[in-house]
Amino acid sequence: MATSHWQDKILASRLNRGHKEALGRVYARYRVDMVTLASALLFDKDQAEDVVHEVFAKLTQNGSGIRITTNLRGYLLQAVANTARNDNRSARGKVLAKTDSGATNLRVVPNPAQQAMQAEYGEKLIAALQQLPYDQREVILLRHYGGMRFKAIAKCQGTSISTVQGRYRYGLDKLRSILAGDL
Amino acid sequence: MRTKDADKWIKRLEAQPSDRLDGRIDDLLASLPTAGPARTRTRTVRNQTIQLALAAVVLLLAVVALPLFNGDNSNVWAQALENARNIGDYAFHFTRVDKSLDPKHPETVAQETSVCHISQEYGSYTEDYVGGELVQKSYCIVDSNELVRVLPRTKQYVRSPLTHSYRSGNPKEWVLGLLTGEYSELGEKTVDGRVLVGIENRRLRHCESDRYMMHTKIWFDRTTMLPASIERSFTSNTQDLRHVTRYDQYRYDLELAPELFEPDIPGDYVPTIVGALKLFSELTGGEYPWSIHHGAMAGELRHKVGDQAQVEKAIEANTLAGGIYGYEAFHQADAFYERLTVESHDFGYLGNRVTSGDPNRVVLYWKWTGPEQDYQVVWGDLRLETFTRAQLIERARAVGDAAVLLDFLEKDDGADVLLLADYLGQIGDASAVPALLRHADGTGAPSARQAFRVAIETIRRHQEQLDPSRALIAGRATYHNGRRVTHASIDIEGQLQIADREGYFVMAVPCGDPHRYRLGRVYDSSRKQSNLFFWRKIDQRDRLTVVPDWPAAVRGRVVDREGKPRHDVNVELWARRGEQVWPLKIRTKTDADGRFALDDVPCGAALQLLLGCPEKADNAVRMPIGALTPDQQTDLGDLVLPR
Repeated sequence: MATSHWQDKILASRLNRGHKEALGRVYARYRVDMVTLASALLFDKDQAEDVVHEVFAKLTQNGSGIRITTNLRGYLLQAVANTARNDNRSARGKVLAKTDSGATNLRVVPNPAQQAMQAEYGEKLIAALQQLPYDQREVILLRHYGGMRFKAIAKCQGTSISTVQGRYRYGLDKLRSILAGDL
Repeated sequence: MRTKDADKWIKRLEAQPSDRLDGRIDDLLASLPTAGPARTRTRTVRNQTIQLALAAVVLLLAVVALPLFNGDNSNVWAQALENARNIGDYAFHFTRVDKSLDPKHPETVAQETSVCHISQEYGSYTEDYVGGELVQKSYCIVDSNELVRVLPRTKQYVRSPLTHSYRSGNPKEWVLGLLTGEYSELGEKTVDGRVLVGIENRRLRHCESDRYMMHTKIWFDRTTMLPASIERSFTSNTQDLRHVTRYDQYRYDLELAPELFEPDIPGDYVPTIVGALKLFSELTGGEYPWSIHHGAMAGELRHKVGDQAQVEKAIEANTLAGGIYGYEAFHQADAFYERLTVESHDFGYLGNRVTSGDPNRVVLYWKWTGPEQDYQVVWGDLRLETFTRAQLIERARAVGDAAVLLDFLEKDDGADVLLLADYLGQIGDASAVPALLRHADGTGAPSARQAFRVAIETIRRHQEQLDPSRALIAGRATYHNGRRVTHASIDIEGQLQIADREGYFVMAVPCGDPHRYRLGRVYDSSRKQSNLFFWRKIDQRDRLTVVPDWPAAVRGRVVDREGKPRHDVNVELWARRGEQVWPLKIRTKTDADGRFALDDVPCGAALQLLLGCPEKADNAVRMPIGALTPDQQTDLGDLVLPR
């Protein structure tokens, strides 16, 4: 049944009306998605969780200012991306980019039938993602993990669609070349 | 794994939040005030400009209309208008009656009673009763712009976009519309000890070719000045029918729970698409439509059942009790399928190869978007079951439904392909071979390529065990540069097979003697290229690659011993290998000058020309001309054919 879709719409409409108790259900529903995106963007578990906390803190403070017109998941992931970008910018001057992949709990969910082979591939993929520049990584994750359109990503990043498409193409080419080199 | 699938693998990323984060969020939410927000009309705030404009119009109308009222009544209707504006959540009953205006048949045609709950925030919830039995539950969800109808009689449900007509089905809007527009007073009446005052309005409406009179009467309780009863009737100018709807038993100032407006669909209810499939299969003796499109389904039905009148008659005889009738069922199925294409990225319709007598074959499966969603599967006997992905794959393997596994294989992002290949091999359905070949070529991992090869070999063995007199040939048609030949035709001794978009094909060829050569021909109809090739079972490799090439041309002149041209002589091409010859069905006749020309001559095999007079068939002369190279233009000169 398509209850998921309805539940999302109902949750979004309640948030729009300022029903803050709906935030509990929203968190339970999308906690993994939000932490995953933040982790994949920042490659730091603590920083990623801080970002998710910050997003929820803003949602609770926002009074009746929440205005969700698109789908709920997209809205939340966009909020995570915006917050993570700000964090990344502010951290850039202070700390060098973190490269220790042990600091993140990110993984690719393998299929039980081919667990061993896929787990190995998943690690390579995560390592390859980490090598991408932040902007390219963000576009690829928002496009494929967040399911967002280029237009929405461009609006989110405050740039043009062609720039976003360029970042996407270069990022994907680089990702593939890194993976092809590994295989 | 294919590197080009990296983007698809990103969807499988996961990072579990720590307990610490859960605790921090819990603390954050616990610090919120427990009471919900005031029931602010955000919709009103959102449309503030429109609301202001409306208020100005209403004020203007009120200023214009107020002097027209008599004495105290102007205050009464102003009060009624103010009260109607402040109506919050409320409930009422309504009864629809269709009355015949024909004096010869004055009976009531149909009657239906409904109970409706309206929330200014969430939408409306209506229960329809016929003869005391609940026949339909309707949910108008304003925020998601959806109408959900649940049909308990047939255990079906329908989801559709909320149209304007449903939005305007709120009696509060009619009261506001009438009080701010033109109306005439009905005076007072007493019903069950309550004093009611009423207003009415008549309006002529046009609907397509029909015109009808809409008559609205609203009675207000004199004490509260809230609507107590509304009656709307539509009288058609062209039909002897009056449609009357009466709204009464109003209950105001209710606190309706939001859960009331969330669709309650029991687990065993099915979408109306199943109803449409049932209707179609009943009409066609168990078959299912080729595609889920209402026009295509209706056309296919006409083709299978007969003319339009026969279809109408058959539909009437097979109407689902209490369900959706006839073509409406097809429209609903179409709407459902369209919604699947928009909202679900994982569904498949396989009805064109299934009949109602195949309970173990899947007609339709779908999964709504969302990680926790399971697959809904409609089987050949139209039972609906729910499976996880792994369960559905296992079940398809168990019942031998290769089409479902193939469908998964074509769409898969790399997670299950090896498992699917293994299962397809176990089922042994030859139709899976082209897809397996394609995946074997597409994968970068040698182990995966080997797994696909094993699956193909298993299918080959299975098929050859079933029919030892035939050999299974699998391969691909490509050009010299390796590009695919889309939909190439491959002919091996009369057995014709069309390759798929990527040029992959599989075919079973009679093969008694494994040492004997078979002549094959590959043809690319888009470029008019072809080629000949030889195949024998004894040296069969794991696959056959065939390459169509530019055709050659052969010209010449047939003369007798005196050098005079021979006209009307049959000229035919044969292929040759050792002692074995095959006719190529490429033939012509000489003209008055004895000349002939054969274009489109395939390369790839030694050829011989067969010349013969029609009246002396036994005296045919065979002339070997060897193998031609692509695009070669050969002039054979004068060929002597004795009389």
